[in-house]
Amino acid sequence: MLDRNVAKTRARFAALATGCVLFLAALAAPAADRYDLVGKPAPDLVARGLSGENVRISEHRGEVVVVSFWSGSCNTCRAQLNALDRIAKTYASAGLTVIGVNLDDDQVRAEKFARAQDVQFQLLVSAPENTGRDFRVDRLPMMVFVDREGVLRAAHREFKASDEAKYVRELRTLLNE
Amino acid sequence: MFTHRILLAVLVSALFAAPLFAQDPQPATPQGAAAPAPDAPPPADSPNASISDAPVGTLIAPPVDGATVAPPAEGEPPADTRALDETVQDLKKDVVDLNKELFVLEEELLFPANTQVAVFVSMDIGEFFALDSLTLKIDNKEVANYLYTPREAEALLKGGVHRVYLGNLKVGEHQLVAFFEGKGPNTRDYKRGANLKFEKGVGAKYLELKITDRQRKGQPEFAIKDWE
Repeated sequence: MLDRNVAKTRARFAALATGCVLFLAALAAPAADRYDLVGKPAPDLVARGLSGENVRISEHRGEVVVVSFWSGSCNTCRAQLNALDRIAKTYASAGLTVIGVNLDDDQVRAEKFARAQDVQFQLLVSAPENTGRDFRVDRLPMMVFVDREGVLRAAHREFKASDEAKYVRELRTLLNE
Repeated sequence: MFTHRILLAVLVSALFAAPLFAQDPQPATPQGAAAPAPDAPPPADSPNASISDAPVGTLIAPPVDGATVAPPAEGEPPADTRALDETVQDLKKDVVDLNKELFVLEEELLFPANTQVAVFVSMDIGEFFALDSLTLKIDNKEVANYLYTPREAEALLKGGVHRVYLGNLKVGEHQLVAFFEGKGPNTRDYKRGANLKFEKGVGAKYLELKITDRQRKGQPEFAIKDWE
């Protein structure tokens, strides 16, 4: 009788523990993907581009701006930059601007990587030190969408080939606003 | 133990019953009268209904795209919309005025006239120098570092003046050093510095960093002077 009670208590405890774990996991999952800056004015950023010209994000007010953060040591970044180049070519006439921002400490390596990319949009290789902190970049590749009013509307981390269609859908919505 | 089970049962039933109560409340209809269907046309006395051709006792179909309703003259919104629009415009104007006043007040509080120092950049012609960046030091402390985009540089060439620094300094002697970077003659990298010792008095102090072309030498010239 006593053994049965102990077994029942253990089973209840195990069920409770499992429930707690699942509950915490459910809470943690959206928290990891949360991005605090959505809905707020995008931080400004000015840096030198590969072509030698300085680029300032706030100068593109009135356009939809995609800011993609990349690193020379990230293979996925290459795929994402290529996807963004395709999107930029298609929607440039509708008011889309894409800016790639390097976050490497090693500027020489970053420049080498940037020059190897066959993309037509601006790649910035000497962003100020606080850029990653200002845009809350927590992994690479990462990119943010800024609407025509200068408000940060979406953030995407990582990149899969299937994401391109999703980006196009979201950008078309922003371009139509 | 039994009481706990009853409590648990009540809680569970409350949990399941909650969504039922959460549904949109339906308007109460008298017994025997059917509730109007969501897609049902509006009653004949509805302001949108056209009753001119309808026989008595029939329901009028809702106007399609305003075809059956006499539309307001093209380009003229209805009177109530116009009044609302005017109110909105007045409110917007009030907000802009308020914002302007707050901005002035903020500047007066943060940078009072007796300690205020402002540094401006201006450019003349720009044949021998294309400005790329500017670093400013006051009393050996870096206070500003600004990268100019081509658009901003062009605005300077068109006569624009850029306030690159606004801060506070106490009364007395100070030193301002400015480093200009850009493309010089023959589009070569070019870096020059200029410095000025100035006396900060009781009033606000405005300084100008002036970049001019020296045609005779074929070189740019950088000068710091009191704002005139």
